[in-house]
Amino acid sequence: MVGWLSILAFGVLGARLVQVQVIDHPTHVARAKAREVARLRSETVLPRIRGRIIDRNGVVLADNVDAYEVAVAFDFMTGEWEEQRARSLERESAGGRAALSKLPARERASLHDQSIAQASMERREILAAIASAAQVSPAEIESRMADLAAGIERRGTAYRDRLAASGRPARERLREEVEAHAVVEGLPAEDTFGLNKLADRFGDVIEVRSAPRRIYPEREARVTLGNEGLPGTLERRASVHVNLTDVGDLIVGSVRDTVQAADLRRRPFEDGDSIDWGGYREATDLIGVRGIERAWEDTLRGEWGLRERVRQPDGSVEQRLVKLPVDGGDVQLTIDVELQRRVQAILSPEYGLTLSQREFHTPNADMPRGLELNAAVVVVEVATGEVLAMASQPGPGLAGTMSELEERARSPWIDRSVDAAYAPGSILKPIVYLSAVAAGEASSDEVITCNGHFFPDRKDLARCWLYRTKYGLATHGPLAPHEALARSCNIYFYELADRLGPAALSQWLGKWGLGQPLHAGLEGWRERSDGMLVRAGESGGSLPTEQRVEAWRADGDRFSGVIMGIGQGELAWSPLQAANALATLARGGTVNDAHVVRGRAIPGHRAGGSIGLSPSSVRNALDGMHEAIDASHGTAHHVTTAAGREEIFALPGVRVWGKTGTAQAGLWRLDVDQDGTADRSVGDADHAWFACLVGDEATDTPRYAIAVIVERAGSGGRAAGPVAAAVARELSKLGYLRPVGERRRAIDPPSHQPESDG
Amino acid sequence: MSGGLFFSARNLRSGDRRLWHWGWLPVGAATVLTIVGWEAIGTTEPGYAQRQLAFIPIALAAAAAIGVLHPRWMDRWAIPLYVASLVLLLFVLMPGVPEALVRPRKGARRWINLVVIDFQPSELAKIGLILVLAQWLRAREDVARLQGLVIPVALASVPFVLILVEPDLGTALTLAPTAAAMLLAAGCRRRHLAIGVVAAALLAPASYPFLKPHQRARVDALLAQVVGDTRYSRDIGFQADRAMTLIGAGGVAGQGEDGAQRLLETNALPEEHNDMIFSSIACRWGLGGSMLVLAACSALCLGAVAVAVSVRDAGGRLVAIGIGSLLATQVIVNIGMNVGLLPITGMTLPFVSYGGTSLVASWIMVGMLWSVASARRADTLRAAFQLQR
Repeated sequence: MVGWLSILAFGVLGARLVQVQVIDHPTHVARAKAREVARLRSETVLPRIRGRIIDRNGVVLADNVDAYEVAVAFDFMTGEWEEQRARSLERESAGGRAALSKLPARERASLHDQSIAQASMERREILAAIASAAQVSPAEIESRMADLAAGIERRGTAYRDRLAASGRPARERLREEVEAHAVVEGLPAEDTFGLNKLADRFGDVIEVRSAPRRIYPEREARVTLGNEGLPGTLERRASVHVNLTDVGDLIVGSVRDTVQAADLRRRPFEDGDSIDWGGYREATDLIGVRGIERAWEDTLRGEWGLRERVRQPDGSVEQRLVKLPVDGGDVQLTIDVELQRRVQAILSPEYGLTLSQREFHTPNADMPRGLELNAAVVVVEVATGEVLAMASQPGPGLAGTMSELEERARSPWIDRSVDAAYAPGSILKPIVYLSAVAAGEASSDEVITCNGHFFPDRKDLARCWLYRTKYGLATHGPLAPHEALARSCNIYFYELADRLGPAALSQWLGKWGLGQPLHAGLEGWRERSDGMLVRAGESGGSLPTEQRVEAWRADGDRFSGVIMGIGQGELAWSPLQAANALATLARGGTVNDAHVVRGRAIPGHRAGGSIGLSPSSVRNALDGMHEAIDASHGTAHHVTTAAGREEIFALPGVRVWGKTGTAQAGLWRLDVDQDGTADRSVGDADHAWFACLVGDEATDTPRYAIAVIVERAGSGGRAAGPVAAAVARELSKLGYLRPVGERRRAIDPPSHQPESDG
Repeated sequence: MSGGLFFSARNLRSGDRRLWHWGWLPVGAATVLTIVGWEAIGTTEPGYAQRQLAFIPIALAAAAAIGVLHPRWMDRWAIPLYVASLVLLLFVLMPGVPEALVRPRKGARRWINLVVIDFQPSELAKIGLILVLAQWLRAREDVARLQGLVIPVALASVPFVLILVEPDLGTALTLAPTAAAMLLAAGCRRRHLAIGVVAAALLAPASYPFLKPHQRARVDALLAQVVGDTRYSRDIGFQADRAMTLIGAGGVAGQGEDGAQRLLETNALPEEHNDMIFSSIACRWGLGGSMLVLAACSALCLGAVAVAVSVRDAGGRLVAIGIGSLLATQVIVNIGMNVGLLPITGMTLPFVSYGGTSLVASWIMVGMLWSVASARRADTLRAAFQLQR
C-alpha cells in the first residue's frame, strides 16, 4: 500500500511538472525574464522645470526657486540592497565569482560575515547622512522609507490584481518599484553638498535631484491711487493706499503638489507599454489647479527624462541616459501686471467705488450704504484683442478674511471677469443696431420714433425708460441711431430686435462672441462631481436656444424676443465677452477675439474674418457712444450725487465712446447679521454695467475696450462709470493713452436733466 | 542469526549475506541524486557545491560502514540511538545553551555547531525513531488492537513534539507518515489508522485559526497559487511563486548553466541551494532534469519497498518500510512545495539539497537499506507481517 501511495503521489508530481514546464512554460519564462530585466535595471525618472508665466512686458508672474530632494532606490527602502551589496562586496574581495568559489569554506564564511557587516555599515552611513541633511533622526528616515515602500507595494499588488482581473498580462514590477523615491524634500542647495558626494559613491542608492518650488513674485503689492477719479461723495483723501495679496491670482492661478486620480486618468505617464513623457505619475509634481497654471498645464509641465542603471555581471553599475528631461515652456500673458494691480486696487473696497451708495439706486431701493459689492473689469486692446487687465472683486486675497458664509455667498475664487455671465442690459444696444443694419433689417441712418411703449395697445409692457410717471410719461420722439444710443432709448432697439426676430438676433449675437467661450486661453480641465473631466474657466454666456425661440413663436410671445433688443431676457455674457464685442465694433467688425496668452495657438480661438458691418453703421454707433459720454444728455455723461453733478469722464486728451447698462437682477436678499439666513431685501438692486472704448483725442481712434460690472450697484452710469473712468485714467498714466494733466473739473450744479436707468 | 556483525566474503560463502539484492536500487538512485544535487548546488552557489563535495565521501563512508554491518546492530542500537536523539533534541531547546553551540537561525533552534559541520539532531531522531519503532513492533502482536498502538504512538510523539517546538514543522510532519506506514506494515488495522488520518484531516482545517499568522498566510498563498492567483507573489507567496516560475522557465530543454544562474540570481529565489534546489534543477535541465530526479526519487522509495518485500526478517522489513516512507514523504513534500502544490515548509530534498547532516543521514539510511537487503536472516515474520501486496 505504501508503494502504491508513493506511485500515485509521484504520478501527481510528474503531471504537475508537465503542466508547469510544458503547458505553462511560456508564461513562466516571460515572468522570469521580466524579473531579470527589472532586477538588473533600475530607472530614475528625471524631473524637469515647470515653465514660467510672464506678463506682456516680461515681468515674471510665476517662477520656480531652487530646492532639492533626496531620493533613495526602492530596494534600499525594502532592505534588499544590503543583501545585494554584501554579495557584491564578497565577490569583489575574493576577486570575482570564480575565485570566491575556490576559497576554503571557513575563509568564505568569514568573508561572508565581513561583507554583511560592511554592507550594513554602509547603509547606516547613508541613512545618517540623509538624516543629518534633513535635520531629523535616522529613525525618522527609516520610518519614512518604510511608509513609502509599504504604500508602493500595496499599489503594486493592487495594480497587478487589476490587470489580472481585466485579463491583461501583469507587468512584474511597477515602475515605482524599480525607481528612486524622495524621502527628503525642499532642501536648499548648500545642504546637499555632502549628499552629492555620497551620491557619487552610491549612485545606485541615493540621488539628489532638483525639485523646485513654485513662487508668484508679483502677487503682493501696495498700490497708491490718486483720488482724482472719485465722485465727490468719496473724495476725502489725497491718495488711497491699497494692499493687495492676490495680484493676477485669478488669472495666473496656482499649483498643487499632489497628483490626483483624475490626473492619472487624463494623462497617465505609463499606460500598458506606452509612455507619455508629459504624463502624470504618482510622485512629487506640480500640477496647475486654476487659471493659466491649469489652462496651460500641458505646456508648462514639460517632459520627464529617464535615466537607467544597469547592474553588470561583475556587480558594477552602468548608467545610461534614456531621455533628457524637457523643461516646460514659458507662457507669456497679454496682461500688464502694473495695470492689473492698479485695476484690482480700483475695485478694492478701500478705494470705495465698489461700496454700495444709496443714491446710485432708484429711490425705492432700500440699499444699505457701504456694503462691499462684487465687481469685475476687463481691459482689451482693440488692435490685437489682447487683454491688458482682468480683475474680479472679491479676489482670493479676501477669501482668508471672510467667514465661511460670506465666502459661499461671494465666491472669491470665481473670476467674474471671465467665468460669470450677466444679462448684458443696454450695453448690448450698439451691437443690436449694428447687427440689424448688417442683416439688412434697417438702414444705417434708420430713424425710429419713440412713443414710450413698443406695443401700441400695451402701455405697461416694453416701455422706454423715459416713459415713466416720474418723468411725466415723456418720450424721445423720432431718433437717429446716434441719438438712440446716446439717450439709450429702448423703443428704438425693441423695434430693431423685432425686425430681426429672436432667431436671427441670436445668430448675429453669436458672431459677436456670445453663447460660447471666447477661448481666451483660460480654459482648463476640471473634474466634475460625477468624475467627468470637463473644460472650465471661461463662461460662454447664454443665448436662447432654437427650441426656446420656437416655443415663443408657437405661443405668440413677441415680447421675449423684443426685449433681447435692450440686452434683457434670456441673454447673458461675461465682462470679457462685453469688452470683446466692443473691441470688435471698434475694429469695424474684424474678428480677433480677446485673449490672455501671447504667441501660442489657443484651440478654438477666433482670429481673422469679419462680421460684415457697414462702415457707416460703425461710424454711427461710435458717434452715438461718444455722444453718450460727451453730450450732457448722454446717459454716460455725468453722475449726480449729493455733492452735485459731476462728469464721469473728465480726462483731457482722451476720447471715450461709452454705453451704460443695467442688468435686471431682481430682489437682493441680504444677510446683514451673517447668521446664514436673509434678513433684509433690497428691491431693484440691479447689476451696473459700463462698457466703453477709449483712445486719444488726436487720432480719434478707439484703442482700448473697457467693460465694468458692479453687481447690485444699481445705475450703470453712476456706479460702474466711475470705475471705467478710473481704469481709463490708469491706462493713461501708464502711457497707454495721452497723459492726464488736469484734475477732474467740476461742472454745472445739478439740474432736472433726467438720467437713464439703462 | 548467525555470523558476525560485519559483511565479508565469508558471509557470502556461508550464505549469511547475498550480493545481489534490491538494496542496490536505492544505492544507484541515491548516487544519481547526489551527483545531480552537487552539480545543481554549483549552479546556485559554487562555494556551497565545494562544501557539499567534501561531505560526499563522508556520507558514502558512513553508508558503507552501516551497510557492511549486519542488521542485528540495529536491534542493539535502536534504543540508545533513540534516547540520544531525544537528549540532543532537548539540548537544542534548552535555555542557557551558549550561542556558540546552538545558534538560532531565523528564529529556529535546530542546529548544534560542531565546528566543521552544523549537526541537526532531528536527522538523528528520524533514524532513531525508525529503529525503535521497528524494535518495538517486530515483537508485538497487539498492534492490531487499538491499545497496542499506544506505545508506538507515544514513541513517535516525543520526537514529533520536540521537533515541532524547534520549530521545524516540516521535519516533524514527516515522522507521522513514517510511523503510520510502519504501523500498517506491522499489522495495525487500517480502520484504526483511518481514525487517525480522519482525525488529522478534520483537525487540519480546524487548526487553521490556531496557526501562527505566517503559517496561515502561507496556506492562503498556496490556495491562491494553485488556482493561478498571483496576489501573494510579492510577499508571503514570494518563495513559492519564484520557485514555480523558475521551474516553468526551465521548460522542456532547460536554460543551461549560465541561463539558469542568471535567472536564479535575478529572480532572487530564496533557499535556491537548499529547500528549493529542485527548482534550480528544473530551471537548468528542464523537464528532462526534473523527471530524472523524480524517477530517481521513485526508484529510491520503491527500492526501499522492494527491499521490505524481499526480506523475511520482521525488523528489517519494518526498517525498510520506515526509511522508504520517510524518504517518500520528504521527496513528495519538497517537490510538492516546489511545484506549488503544497505549502512552503522547511524540508530538504534528500541527497540533493545542500547540507552535510542531511546528506550523511540520507546516505546512512541507504546503508541501512543495503544492510537489511543483503542479510539473510531467519524468517521472523508473523502472519501480520505478510505484506498485503
